[in-house]
Amino acid sequence: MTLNPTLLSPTPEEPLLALGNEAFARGAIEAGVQLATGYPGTPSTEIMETLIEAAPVLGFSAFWSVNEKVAFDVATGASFSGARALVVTKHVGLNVAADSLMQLNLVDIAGGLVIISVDDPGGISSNNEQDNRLYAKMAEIPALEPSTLEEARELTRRAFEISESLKVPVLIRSVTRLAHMTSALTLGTIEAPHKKPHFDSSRQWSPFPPLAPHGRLQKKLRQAAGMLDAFGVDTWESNGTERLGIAAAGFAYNYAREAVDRLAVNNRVALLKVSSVNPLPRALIRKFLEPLDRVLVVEDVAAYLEEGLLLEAAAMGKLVEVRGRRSGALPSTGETLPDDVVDALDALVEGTPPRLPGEAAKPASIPNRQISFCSGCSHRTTYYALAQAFDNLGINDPIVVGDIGCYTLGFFPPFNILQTMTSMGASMGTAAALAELNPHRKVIAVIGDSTMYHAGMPGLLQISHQRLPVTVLVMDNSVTGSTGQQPHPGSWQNSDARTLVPIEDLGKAYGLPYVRVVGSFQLKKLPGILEEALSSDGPAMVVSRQACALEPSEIGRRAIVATIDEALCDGCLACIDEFGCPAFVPAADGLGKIEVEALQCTGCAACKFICPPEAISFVRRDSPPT
Amino acid sequence: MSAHEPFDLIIAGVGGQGSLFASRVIAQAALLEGISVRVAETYGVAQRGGAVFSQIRLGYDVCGPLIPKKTCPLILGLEPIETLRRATMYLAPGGEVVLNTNINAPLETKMGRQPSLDLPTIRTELERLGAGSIEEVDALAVALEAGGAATANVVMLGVLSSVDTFPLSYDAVVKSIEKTAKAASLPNNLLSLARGAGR
Repeated sequence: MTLNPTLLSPTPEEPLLALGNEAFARGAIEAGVQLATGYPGTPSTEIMETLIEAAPVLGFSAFWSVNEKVAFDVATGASFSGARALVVTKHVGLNVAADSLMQLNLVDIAGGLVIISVDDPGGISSNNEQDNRLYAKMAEIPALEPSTLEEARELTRRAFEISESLKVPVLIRSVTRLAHMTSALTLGTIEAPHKKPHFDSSRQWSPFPPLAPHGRLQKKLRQAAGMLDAFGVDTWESNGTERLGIAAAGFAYNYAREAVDRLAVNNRVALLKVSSVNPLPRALIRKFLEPLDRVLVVEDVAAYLEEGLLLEAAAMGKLVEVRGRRSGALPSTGETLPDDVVDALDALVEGTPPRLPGEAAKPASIPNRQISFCSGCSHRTTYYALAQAFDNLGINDPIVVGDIGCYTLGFFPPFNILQTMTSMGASMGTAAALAELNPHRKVIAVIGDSTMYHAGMPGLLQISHQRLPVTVLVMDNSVTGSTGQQPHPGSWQNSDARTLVPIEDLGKAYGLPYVRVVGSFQLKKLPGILEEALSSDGPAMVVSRQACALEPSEIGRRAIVATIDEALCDGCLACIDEFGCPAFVPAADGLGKIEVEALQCTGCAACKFICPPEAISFVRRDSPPT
Repeated sequence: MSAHEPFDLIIAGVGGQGSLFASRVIAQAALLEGISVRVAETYGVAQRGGAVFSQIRLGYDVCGPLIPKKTCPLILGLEPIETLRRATMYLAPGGEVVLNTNINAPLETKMGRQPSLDLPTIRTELERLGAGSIEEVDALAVALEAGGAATANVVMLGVLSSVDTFPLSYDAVVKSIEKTAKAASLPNNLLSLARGAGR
């Protein structure tokens, strides 16, 4: 994405149009962040992208780390130096950093350390939906949940203040719909540059022994309650006569307010907006609950606030019906949807039992749009070569273990080749056991370059050390592709003076006896190399290398375009059914032959050898195909 | 209608058609007119050819970015199949549809492996859903006249800005495009907008 220069303006200007993620970035800038890092992950990526572009202009440090734990530890070092540090992650990334979080929370940090976690309710761009507010609870750290772009900016600033004054990391929980919402943003003032980094060697920076720090942490959390209260981030809208209430956590406040407005029940329903996730605003919750008979809680993913209200009601000895995701008044899975909130509020007001929404009627007659690899994508040719290698060796029961990235589309047609996929880097360990327990079958672990650096390396080391017959097929497209081509330690396009660490060097250093690198588009060569690897006894690594088709230096690079000789094309459909490049389409004359959509074709020429009647050739783009 | 009454709009298209640009232009135009705006985009993994769907909410005090089912008064359809997909779920009875007639069928449909939809069927289905009006435009043809296929999305923005119920002025859309488009493509964009608006 391109940086909107207004985001760097030192003082407030006219409101600008911004993405939620840009609002978080601006909040960090206003707080005088000195170091920002993270690992790409939809829907969080644009926060770091904005900060990376802003950093050289404003003179702070921002860069991608190889994974979220490294990012968290880097931020830890910055905080120990007295610098304000930001970690940006999608929800699952915090799992990777959790080990560090669960111990740094016990240390008196120096510079403010803020973690922005963008959760993905409904798993729109993820394998799961998980609620990272629960991490704040487990780690006993302060946490905030903004409801608008303004709050995203403002609460990010506040989070730095709380973190630095209480010497404890602070979590901000965002969600996809806030992260990717475009709306107006009003700016605040950028704080003067923070104090110069200095590491204080006169003290120790460790939680050990843990008991005293744990008590100290709990005291910090009690102090945080006072600070959050003073900030006034939580609001209670009431005329003092309502017997009904709706409570909303963070972004879900928008759905709650909209439902109240739509049903025009403003006079009958008190409204509580809770942006303090941890600790919850207990006093305000008590005031809200006191006069009420029934409450609906609106929030994304877990019944976190709903349980908080139930506990508070129990502690007050107050009998109140609390409805929400836990009670079944709202769906317990999936993102919050406006119609569900309206239905649940309507039932609350009417005093009728909650009615769960039925299955949405799916319009049967509208054709689906299947997703596929882009034209010019190296994953397509690598899977094509792998299928060929299986054929050539007569392997009909391979075990193909997948990992996280665009290549996960290998689960779908035309390849249907992957069989497992769990978390980042999991292909390595999973393949290790599959190879050990299924000795008569060939086991292939498919992993991307960025995923290998992120969490594949320890598992690769174990495969090598245990000498397991796993073929590690690295789909190396030189960038973190699926999140928008961010660089990593193997990105050769990265022109600054950083050390390149190619994947094959890892394989060699880890002692794998067979390591080969081959271009992904070399379909004369790649299947044979894969066959060699599959035929070897021990662990083997094949790096299939070709830059992502969407990497900026790749776009528009080739001056040729594929063309099909109509006389030779016999309509066998191999280019569609076995290769599946979107540039191949049925010819417009409807006679069963194929033609090339010239605007789709990148000229990668990888299809040169895939056509049985050899009808594919290439012409210069500026001369029309004959 | 008054410009500050809440108004919802959906843009339905496929990747590569510039529907994200179109929603950005509308959001920027709203900001220029001092009307509150919230936009939610939904798009798939694939760069090209996937369904793209923008929900634009104008003039609310507080609202979520998602439009409630069967309440949307206006759908800007950059592609007919995607328009029907969104209309089925979101179009309000009596709602208006502005439709680019250039169908971009999914590959599986072109292959004859899943049902196809032609324009008359889509029209009938939209009427069956209770569409109050369907304004059909061959945006590609208009765009080609104005200088190139790439601005078919802007032709559609022009048509949109001439719809009576659409709360933003033509001038605001012009100013927004001047702010949003790259300088090199600005003359083409403004010409396409004008042609779409019948100016």
